Amino acid sequence: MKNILLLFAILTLSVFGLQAQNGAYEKGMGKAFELWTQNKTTEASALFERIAVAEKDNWMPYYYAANVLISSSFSTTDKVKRNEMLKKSKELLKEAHDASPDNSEIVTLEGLLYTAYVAMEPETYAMQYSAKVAGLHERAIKLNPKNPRAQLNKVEWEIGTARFFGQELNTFCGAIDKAKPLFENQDDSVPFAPSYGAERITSLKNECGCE
Amino acid sequence: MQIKYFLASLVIVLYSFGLNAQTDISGIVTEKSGVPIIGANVFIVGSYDGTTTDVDGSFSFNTTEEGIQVLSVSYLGYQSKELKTEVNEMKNLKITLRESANSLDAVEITASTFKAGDNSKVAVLKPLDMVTTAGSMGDVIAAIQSLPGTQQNPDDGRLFVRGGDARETKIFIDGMRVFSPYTRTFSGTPSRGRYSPFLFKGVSFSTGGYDAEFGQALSGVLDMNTIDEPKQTESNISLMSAGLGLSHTKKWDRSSLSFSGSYIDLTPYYWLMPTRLDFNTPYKGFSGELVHRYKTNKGLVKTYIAGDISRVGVNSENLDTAIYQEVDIDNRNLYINSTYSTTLSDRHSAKIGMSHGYNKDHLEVDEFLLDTDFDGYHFKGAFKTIINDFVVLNYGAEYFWQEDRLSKGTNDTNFFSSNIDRHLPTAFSSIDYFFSKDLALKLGARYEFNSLLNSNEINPRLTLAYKVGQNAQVSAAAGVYNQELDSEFLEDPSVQRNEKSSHFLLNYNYKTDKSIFRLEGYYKSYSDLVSYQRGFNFEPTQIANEGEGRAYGVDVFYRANNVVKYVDFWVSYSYLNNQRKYLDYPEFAAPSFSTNHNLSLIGKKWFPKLNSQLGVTYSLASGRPYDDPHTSDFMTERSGWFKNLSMSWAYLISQQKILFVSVSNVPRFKNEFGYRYSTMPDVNGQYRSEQIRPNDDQFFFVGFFVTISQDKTKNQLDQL
Repeated sequence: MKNILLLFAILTLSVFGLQAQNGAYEKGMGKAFELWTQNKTTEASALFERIAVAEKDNWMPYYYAANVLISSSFSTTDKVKRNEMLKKSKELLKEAHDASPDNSEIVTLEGLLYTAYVAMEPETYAMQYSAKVAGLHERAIKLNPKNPRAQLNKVEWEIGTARFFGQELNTFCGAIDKAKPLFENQDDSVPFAPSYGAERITSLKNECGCE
Repeated sequence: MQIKYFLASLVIVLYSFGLNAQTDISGIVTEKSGVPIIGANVFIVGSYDGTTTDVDGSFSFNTTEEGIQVLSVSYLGYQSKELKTEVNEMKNLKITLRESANSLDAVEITASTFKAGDNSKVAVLKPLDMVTTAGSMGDVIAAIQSLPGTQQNPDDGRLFVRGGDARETKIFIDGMRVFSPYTRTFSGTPSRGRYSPFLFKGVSFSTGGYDAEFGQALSGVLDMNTIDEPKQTESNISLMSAGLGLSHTKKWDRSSLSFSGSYIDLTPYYWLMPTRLDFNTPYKGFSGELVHRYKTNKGLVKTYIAGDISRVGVNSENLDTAIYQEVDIDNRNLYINSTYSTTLSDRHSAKIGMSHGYNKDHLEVDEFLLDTDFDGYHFKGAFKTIINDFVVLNYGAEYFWQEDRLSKGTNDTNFFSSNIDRHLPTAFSSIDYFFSKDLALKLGARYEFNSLLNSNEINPRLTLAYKVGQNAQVSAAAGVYNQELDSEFLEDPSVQRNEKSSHFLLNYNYKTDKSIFRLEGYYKSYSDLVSYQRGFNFEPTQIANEGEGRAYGVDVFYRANNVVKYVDFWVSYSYLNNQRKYLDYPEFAAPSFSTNHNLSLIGKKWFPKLNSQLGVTYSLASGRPYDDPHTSDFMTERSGWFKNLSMSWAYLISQQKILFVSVSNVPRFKNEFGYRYSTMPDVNGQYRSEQIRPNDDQFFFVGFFVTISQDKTKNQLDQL
């Protein structure tokens, strides 16, 4: 009896201990997301990176560290800084890719990285990267056709091109709507797995003048 | 007993919750100068413990880690630092970070180089410019001529750099030599670059002071880089006033294959448009290109094959005999270029390559035949070793093998034939040394051996660059260059040396987000140039290496993009003073191809409502020197100034269809380039003369381009 009790206690405690460690990951990630929401991008990216270095085999902290930098690069005015942010994101994405090759989410974000280059200096990068961006979107969709971010980023990129040429945008309404069920049916079993972006549907539909 | 268990479990629980002692870690992160670095990431590697620095550069956090740990400090654009020590000692740390020399705003060690394309910070020309510059008609070389340091010779079309002739500027594709870069034409009709501008993602054009990797060029180097990865699987159809073109690209995961073919026939064009030339065969030619690219795990293999056949024939007057002669030129050209670039490790990379050029010209003047053909091979291995962030080593070796064959005769007899074969092993090495992010030095040397001359050359090269402000840098360069003589003179036993030049230049560069300003002054001296006397039949005799020359000048460049909305423009001005005593010159004089003043104004405006881009190019060059044999002075005559205004209009009918119209010399300026004279005076002591005029005062180009691809958003906009 005593032995069984002891065994039981040890078992419980070790599970407890494991959870405590896992808790640190969750706490850390949670804190990083919180910083990101508060627009403390430097801190958020730094924290994601710290977690990434500690959890080398996990692609997500690298993915988010890069994501913070790429997303905030669009509103950064200092071009040198902006360039450095994208350069750093490229390195982080490479680490993410090493941890999880052929990952649709990472490839989607890579598409956003080169979109950021084009947005920064269209005269220099539009010709060089346009096709690359389109190719990355294709690949991301091929890797996971149910990835709503890949689908939506592709449409968004095409809307940008059409706008440049002054074309009708409401032809994209159908394509935007297609992402909706994909967002609703996302697998949310893995904590922190990317599931964001559904709100873009509404804003894109507004931009395109959809009903 | 129960309590005992309870206590035991409590201990374990407490342990697993990590209630062991926490250690405080603190310090400050600054630049070398003491300026705090805000937002640097400071953390214990392998733990979650860390923070970012405050506005005063300070940091403090606590960790549960114990013993010897690694503290990592990093910030964008700075070299990261790692500190390995006992956690208890990580208190009140003073950490300085050094700005990374490979950060984007570090000083650049390129004095006289214009770069176009992706990775250059000094984007003087953008990839698109190679094709959208009005008047360039899709010719890479013509677009390069809008940069300062070039002299416009619109009747020739080749690149003339800072008082050097066209032979003194060598052209490379992906670092490999192109042996016959220009199309074959008659004098008065400009040559074009042989290779399609759509192949290239960027160019690097150096008008002097180039580093040890490049040799056999006295004046300039143009290196064009091909695209690594095509955009997509697509087909393109071009219908042009001068012919038609088809291309197709197939893209796979790791590799891609493109082929293109075009047929140009100017017969219909000259049926409509007047020309000064009396054609019996207007230019017609077929050209084809094949590009294969394959991505390996760590590198890229590119193979490029281009071939073309052309024929052109005119009737032209011989000034000495006053008789019209029928002149026909057949040209065949093949070029193969293959490179493999790879990273060997984090710090080592390598590039190996080979190129082969074959060119055959068959010239018929009435019944006389002149056949020249040429084989050239270039093998190269170039390596780069990054010793640390502040020292980079480039080194490598090359091997050139060239053979020129010439035969003169008629259909029945052969008067003369020759065969000149030579081998040139070379080696080069240079070191980039960054004293700081703001001051850098490049020191290099190049060795060359020529088997025909048995000559050994060691050419030193030096560049120094200093960043004088956030947006400005000053650089200085000096170097010695050599080049073998024109093959016509190579075999002469009295010729024993290569032609040589020395460059000295000083450059100021100011760049903001929307504009670039460059000012460069230079001095060049030439020695051992080929010199000769004219024999009784006007053939060169007493050939020697006794020619010399000097050139100095100033180049100015300004480009502004979107300072005025949708407008992109640039201005180039070059002043050149060029004096030479070479060839059969009796005294120092400015050669006919060098003009004192050259000005180009290029503007492009995008009209979003019209889906159109307007391009305007204005060029101006001072008079060209020529010699009037009726006077006792040598080369003192000057032609009138050259003026040209070209305009182009690109209209996007839809994303896949583009209409492009381009007209050169819109105001129809009457341009002339001086006179040419008969070699012998007539009985009255008068030389027959003829004014040199462009064969076409104006040129029209109309093209319709269609792209067929799965992705309907792509087009040939970048092909204009």
